This record gives sequence, C-alpha cells and structure tokens, in this order.
Amino acid sequence: MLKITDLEKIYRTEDIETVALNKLSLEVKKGEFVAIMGPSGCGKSTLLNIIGMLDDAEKGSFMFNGEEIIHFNERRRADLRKRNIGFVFQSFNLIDELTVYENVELPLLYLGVDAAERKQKVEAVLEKVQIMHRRNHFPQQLSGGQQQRCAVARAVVNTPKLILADEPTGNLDSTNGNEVMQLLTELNEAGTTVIMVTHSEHDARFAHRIIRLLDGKVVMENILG
Amino acid sequence: MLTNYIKIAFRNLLRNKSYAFINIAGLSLGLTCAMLIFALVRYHFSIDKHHSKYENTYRIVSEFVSREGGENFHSPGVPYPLGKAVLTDFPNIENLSMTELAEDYFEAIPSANGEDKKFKETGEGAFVEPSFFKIFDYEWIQGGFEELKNPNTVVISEKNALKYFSTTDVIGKIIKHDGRLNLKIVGVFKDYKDNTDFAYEVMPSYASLKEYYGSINDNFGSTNSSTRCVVSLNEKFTKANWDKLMPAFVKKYRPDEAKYIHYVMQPLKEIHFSEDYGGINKNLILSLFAIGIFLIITASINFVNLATAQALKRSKEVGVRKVLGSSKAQLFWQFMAETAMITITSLLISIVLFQFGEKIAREYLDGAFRFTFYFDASVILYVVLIILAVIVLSGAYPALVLAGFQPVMALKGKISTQQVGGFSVRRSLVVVQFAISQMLIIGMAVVTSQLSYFQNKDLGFKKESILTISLPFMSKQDVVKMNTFKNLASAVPDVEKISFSMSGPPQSGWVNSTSLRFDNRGEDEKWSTHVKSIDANYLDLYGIKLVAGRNLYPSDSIREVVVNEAFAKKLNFKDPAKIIGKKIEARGRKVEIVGVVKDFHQQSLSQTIEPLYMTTLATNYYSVNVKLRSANFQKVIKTLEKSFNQVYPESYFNHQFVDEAIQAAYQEEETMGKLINFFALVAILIGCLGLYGLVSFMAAQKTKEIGIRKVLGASIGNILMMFGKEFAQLIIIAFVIAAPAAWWIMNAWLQNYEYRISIGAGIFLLSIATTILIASITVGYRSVRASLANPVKSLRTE
Ligand SMILES: Nc1ncnc2c1ncn2[C@@H]1O[C@H](COP(=O)(O)OP(=O)(O)OP(=O)(O)O)[C@@H](O)[C@H]1O
Ligand SMILES: [Mg+2]
Repeated sequence: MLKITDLEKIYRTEDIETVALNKLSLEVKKGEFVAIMGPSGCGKSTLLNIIGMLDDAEKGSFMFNGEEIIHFNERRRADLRKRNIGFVFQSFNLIDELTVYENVELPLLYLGVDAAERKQKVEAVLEKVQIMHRRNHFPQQLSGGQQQRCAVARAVVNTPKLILADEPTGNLDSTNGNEVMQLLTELNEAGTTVIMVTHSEHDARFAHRIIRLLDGKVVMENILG
Repeated sequence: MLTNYIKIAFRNLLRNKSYAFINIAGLSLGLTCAMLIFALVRYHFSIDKHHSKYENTYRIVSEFVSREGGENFHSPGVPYPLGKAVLTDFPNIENLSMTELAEDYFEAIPSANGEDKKFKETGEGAFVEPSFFKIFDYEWIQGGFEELKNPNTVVISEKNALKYFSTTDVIGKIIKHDGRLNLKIVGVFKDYKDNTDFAYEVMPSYASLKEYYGSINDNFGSTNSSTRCVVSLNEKFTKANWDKLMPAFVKKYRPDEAKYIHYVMQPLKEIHFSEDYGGINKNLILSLFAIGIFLIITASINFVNLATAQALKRSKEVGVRKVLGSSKAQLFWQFMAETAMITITSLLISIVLFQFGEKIAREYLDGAFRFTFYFDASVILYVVLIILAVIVLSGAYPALVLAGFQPVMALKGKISTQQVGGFSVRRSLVVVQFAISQMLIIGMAVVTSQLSYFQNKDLGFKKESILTISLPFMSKQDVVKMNTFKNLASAVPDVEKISFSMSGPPQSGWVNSTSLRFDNRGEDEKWSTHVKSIDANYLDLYGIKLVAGRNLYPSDSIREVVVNEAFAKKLNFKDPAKIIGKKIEARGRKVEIVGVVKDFHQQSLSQTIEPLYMTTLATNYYSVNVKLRSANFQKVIKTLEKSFNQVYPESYFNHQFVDEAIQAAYQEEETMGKLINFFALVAILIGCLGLYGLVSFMAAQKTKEIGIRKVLGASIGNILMMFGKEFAQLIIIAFVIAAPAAWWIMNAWLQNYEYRISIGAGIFLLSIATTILIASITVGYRSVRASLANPVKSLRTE
C-alpha cells in the first residue's frame, strides 16, 4: 500500500534545527494493522502526518499505491487524501459547531456524494459505532468515548483504504479505549489498512506489527502472532 | 455543501454574538448611510437626464469680462431681446425659448363670491414660449402647449391644478398671476419627478410678460438674471457654430462692449453644478460621496479586523476540514460565503433602515434642495456593486488567511497571532480607521466653525426684530399708496421704525450693478458699482454707521447719494471724508456724495464687499422694512397684514424676518454641514465599534500574558499601559497621515468663501484630543476589565 524510503523531515526555527525524521524507511502492506511506538518526541506524529499527506518531507520517497507523491502540491494531496485516508486523533477534532451527524457527513460532502447515499452511509456508520441515538447532539454534549467513536465513524464513513490513528485512546479511560480498539480491529478485519501511533503496549497488541522509533529512525520491528 | 457552510456560519454567529452584533450593526449602519448618501449624490448627478434632448440642450448665459483683469462676472440671464435676435440671425437653431423666472409669486383664483382665493407659491414658476416644450419633455394630462403663443395663457402642473381647483379638468379656467395678470389655463402637465433644475409649476406664456411688467426694457443694455434663454441644437447648428459666430453677434448688438461680453452656450449637463451661474457646489456633494466611501471602508475594516482576530478560534475547524479533504479553494469560498451571508443580512437590515432614513432625510432636508430618492434598475446595480465590493474588501483577506492555515499546526492550536495576517496588517487597518476618523473630525470642526462664523459674523447691520414686506411688483411703484400704507403701519403700536427700500435688507440676493461716471472724468470707470435705492430712514433702521458726512435727506427722487467705504477706496480715497462733495452720475443725473457708510455685507459672505452707492428713489422701492419692538410678533404681523390688504387688495402679504432670511441664504451650506457632520459621526461610531471589538479580542488573547505579568508583579497601571501604548502609537501615526490631508482638503473647501476662518493649530489639537478621548473610552473599559481579571483563573484555562 505504501512504501517510504529515506524520508527526512527537519524542523527549522530561528536558532535550532530539529531532525524529526532521519532517513526513515518503512513499508506497509494492504490490509495490515501497524502500531508505531516510541518515546515522546521521536517523530511518530510527524511520520503519521506525512503519511496522511498533511505535511511534506524534505527528502526521500513516498510511494502511495505505487505512485510517487512526495512532490504533489496541496490540491492533489487533498484530493488523494479525501479518497483514500481516514484520520482519528487523540483529541477527537470534531467541529464544535456541527452535530454528530453533520460531522460524520462532512467527508462525503467533500467527495460530492449525493444526499440519499450520504444519509444511508452516515446512518449505517453511526449505527455501527453505536451513537445513532446521539446523531443530533453537538460534540460538547458527548462523553470522550462517544466523541472518539464519532471521530472513528467520520474517519471510515467514506470507506477509506487507510486509517491513520494518532493515540486514539490517549484521552480515554480503558473501557472506552477498548471499545475504540475493538472498532479499529473490526475495520481492519473488513480489509482496511490501519496505522496507529500509541504509547500503550496494551493497545499495540491489537496490531499485526509494532514499529518502534527512536530519534526519527526505525529501531525495531515486532511481528505479533 | 453550501447548506453546510451556511449552517456553520450561522452557528458561529450565534456563538460569538458580540462579534456578530458589531459586524452586522456596523455594516448595516454603514450601508444605510452610504446608500442614503449615494442616493443623494445620484440625485444630483441625474438632474434633467431624463429629457430626451439632454445632450443637445443648452442655456445661453452672460459672462462679463472684467475690465481690470479681475474675476469675470457671470449671470444666468440674458438681455430681453436676445432670443429674437438669435433666432433672426441663426434661423437654423432647432428650438429656442426665452424664459422669465417667477419666484415669490402667488396665484389668485376668482371664486363665485367675488373674493379671490390666494395661493402663495414657494416653488419656481416661469414665463415660457411654446418651444420650451419642444426642448424639454412634458406629459400632458389636459390640453397642451400650442396656445401658449398667445398672451394671457398659462399651463400648470397637475399638483397645482388640484390645489387650485381640486380637479385637473381646468382648461379654460382663469387664474390671476400675482393677483393682477389674468391667465387662461390651456394645458395641465404631469408632475415631474423633481430631479430637474426646471421645476416650474406654473408657466404663463412669455407673450404675457409685457402686460405683467407694464413695460419691458427692450434693449441689449441690461441683463436681468431672471430673463433666460434655453435652446436645443441639432447638426444644422451646433455649439461649435455658435462659438465661432458669437463674437460677431455681440459686436452687432453691443458694438461698444463686444470685448467685454460673452454669451456662452452652457450645456444642460453643466448647469446643475455651475456655481458661477447659481448652481450647486459640486465639492460639497463630492465630500459627501467621499464620506460614503469612508463609511464603507470603515465598516469593511471592522470586518477584516474582527474576522482575522477571530480566525484563531476557527483554526481547529480549518484543520479538520483540510484533514477531511477540503482544498484551500473550498475553504476560501466557505469563508467568503460567510462574509457574503453577514453582508447580505446587513444589507437587508439596511434596506429597512434606508426607508426610515429616507423619510427623515426628506423631512429634514426639505427646502434645502429638492431631493428625491427613487429606485430603478441602476440603483439596484449600484447596491449590488457596493455589496460585492464590501464582500471582496472585507472577506477576501480573512478568507485567504484562514484557508492558508497549515493543517497540522491548525489542529495543534499552534496558529499564532503572527500567522493570522500578522498584527501588522490589523495595525495598519486600525491606522487607516483612525486616520479616516481624524480627517472627518477635522472636516467637521472646519465646516462647523465656518458655518458659525457665518452665523455670528457682524454683517455691518442689525438684523434682529426687523420684518420686510414685499410691495407689489410693478414697473413704477405708486408713491401715494406707499405712503398710505406707511401711515397705517406707523400707527401700529409695536412698530418702532419703518423704511422703504428696493431690495429689502442690506444683504439680499437682489443686487443691481451699473457702470459709473465719477466726478468730471471723461469716461466711465472700468469697474461697475452696486446700487441700492433706499429712503432716509434706512440707515438708521438697520443701524448702518456713517464714517463721514451725513445721511440722505428725505426725497422721493434721486437727490444725492451715500457710498460705502469700498467705493471710496476703489476711487483711491484713503480718507473717506475727502470724497464728500464729489459728484457722480446716477441714472443720468449728476448728484453729490453726501456721506460714506461703514462697509456692510450686501452680499453673501462668500463674496467680497463691492463698491456701492445708495440713493433715494421712491418709484423703485419694492420692500417695506419694519423694525418691531420685542412684543407679540404674530399679533403685529396680523395687524400689518390687514393694513396691507386694505391698501393693496389685489396683492399678497409676503413677509419675512431679516435674520431668518439671511439664515435661509446659508441653508444649503448649513444642510450640507449638518449632513457631513451626521455621516461623519456615523463613520466614527462604526470605527469605535470595530475598535471595541478588536480590543475585546486583544484582551482575550492576552489574558494569559496579563495573568503571567500580574503574577510577576505588574500593577493594573502597567497592564493598562500595555494597551494604551499600542493605541497611542497608532493614533499618532494616523494623525501624521490625516492632518496634512485634511488640512489640504479643508483649505481647498474654504477657498469657496471670501470671508472664512483660518485653520489653526486648535483644530488639529481638537482632532487628536477627540480621537484619543474616543479611543480611550472605547479601549478603556475593555482593558480595565482585562487588567482586573484574576490571574489564577486566567492561567488555569491554559
Ligand atoms: N512545528 C514544529 N516545529 C519545530 N519542531 C517540531 C514541530 N513539530 C514537532 N517538532 C519536533 O519534532 C520532533 C518530533 O515531534 P513529533 O510530534 O513527531 O513527536 P511524537 O513522537 O509524536 O511525540 P509525542 O509522543 O509526544 O506525541 C520533536 O522533537 C518536536 O519537538
Ligand atoms: Mg505525537
């Protein structure tokens, strides 16, 4: 699905340069569930953002579905992103002014899906994450777990090929966290590739493979049985 | 997608009610005023455009070239015989109509019981020739204009027909112009939209003029500003033809003065703004227009400032939308749509407000100028243009900023004030607002002081408690009747003094000028002098002081003259006493100068004091001046009216207080002044609204900083300084821009007035002090609140 070779990302501020990714290489196959772990500041989020085409790298190569996309401009990246990738964040990132239903509907709007199909898809996915009864609530009216389920619903509503999750359980208690992990596992079993950043060894065990980073480099890979 | 945008825009507005309020209130206020202003400006620029021959219509006017190289004298009038001469010499002119303006007239309608019903008209009327209606477009309800070639005929407007007869079925009915000229109605025309400078409601035939005046000065030697000539031209005879042939024409009819007189073809489209010929001061209209633009700019700046300030709050939304696949363009248009929504909401509000504003303006401005707003396709186009301008002006920048957020940063909430267009952009916008406000304050101060200068300037004569009454207009006044009236009036207990004069008060629009033969000089002076006919009581009644010699002796004919200081000065008499005893030729008679009066303003303060001589000539008096003791004016006026009607039963008691009349002469200035002040205040208010919003935002932004500073020991004073310093700098920068610009503009404006204030440092100090005051009030409240906030609370939120 994606192949990254010698990726470099350097943050430059006035006086210091931070090497966030240092010649990092990585390959993820279709249908895999990969967990990325490592100490704080090692570049996990940076990597995920680049994979999600939210950020660009200095050097290296990034093949997505067999296509080199490192030099894509913002518009082409946005286009690729909205068709292929769903995001789940630690801080949910729901739009406060929109209801649960409207938040989940948003990716379909950007894809230009027609109204009837939208309704059907949104309702199906809300049903799946079990917040259908909360469809007309605003995010602030939901618990953390409900918010994250809503965020997952939004990430998968357009049936993306790849889901990127950055510490999806970081703000949740273990019960809610497990529910979210369960959801991700189900999605993966249905064929979606999942890449998840996490600090929790417990959550990482849901994955097929754990990639450990240190100082912007892959230092170890564990394949789980 | 659009519904989604609208939803989110709407919810955002509800969440940030104060921002929404400031934006919408400011914008609707600005739009309402701008629309009112533009309607007014449009009115002035659309004058007479509806006539189909607009492009080919001209007025022939007189320009008298100064013999001493000074300023030329302009008159919208022409000599009475000019029309006939032009038609004879240039038969190819398409249409020509002489017109004789009738102001201050009344119509008497004979009634069954034998007593006339009198209607005093406040609008203008004119004696016209039938061809007038071939030049200008009129719609006829009854009859037409053909019969106007005959004497004693008249056409009137629908409104007046209804007023006089309560019906428009009035063909053949008789009205008596000024109570003495019988006119048969031959046509009734539809009331015009009053965007015309030829709004004559009653138009007697020009052929009736001889009977009306008794006799007419049928030579080229005298020019009355009410006797006018309009023509329409076609390719057979063009303005270029006229320009070429005119000098020879003047030479033919005024051989002696060919060099000094031009008859100019003035295009219809230039008439309205030709100040030389009594038109409107275009600069005033343009100043208003500029204020209208300022209003829109200020409101848009509020918008930009508040929207960019608020952008931080929306960074998360932008981030999420980008993650979900929104392109930059989509986000840009989303925020533009929001701006459009706010703008259109404001527009709807302002269309409602406009209706009220229009009503108020109409009432308030009535009499100052004719004034109509009307909606048609071009107005709608205009409004659409304004709205688009506002949307682009105020929406584009914030939308670009928002759409440009880097998604990762936006999601992390790491977008800083710097990225939101940098504070410098907002700073410069605030500077622009302050600069506009200060220019407007300076403008207001200058206009107001100039107007109060007019109001309070010693005109050189008294004007309080003096009433003028018009005597019937005829070529020779009946002296016996005059004296009868004088005796009756003097008997009224509250009448203190009474005097007759030609043109009423010392300052009036009616000015006669004539050439002058001084002493034993062999030829006329190269300049002309003003003349007034007054009786012996006049100087005393108006408190005009003598600086040398004595007052005129009572007489009914020309016996001797008094002159003003300017007259003596013009003849190089440094000591006015020296001119006493010298002779001048007045109306063909050699008479002695017996006194010199202190200069007074016989014309508006926009003009210099011209040389003037005054003499007795009873047949030339058209006004009674009555000085009243302070008492019940209304009662005295009633009594005087009775006496007047007794002596002049066929006439109309037309009276006016001198101070009011003089004030009315500055009405146009005054109304414009009021308008400018009002709209400028609105612009400043809108600026304040925006400033308040911006400071609120700054306060919210700086809560953490303020908290930390307070924990570290900063006093409330220190915190206030933080805000104060910032704005003080901006005000000073704005002042540096505004002061010279305002000085330049206002100085140019003042050049219109011969007697004017000088713009002193005081006005600038006032402007900066006012701005500082306004800004501190606006900024103060918010920053005091911010500085008082409990630091523990504000830090905990982070
Ligand atoms: N916008 C930025 N500007 C400068 N440096 C940055 C920026 N974003 C991240 N960094 C630096 O890049 C490195 C990698 O950051 P990244 O956010 O990818 O770490 P992480 O592995 O996700 O850490 P955590 O587990 O704490 O989320 C860090 O040293 C960080 O300080
Ligand atoms: Mg991270």
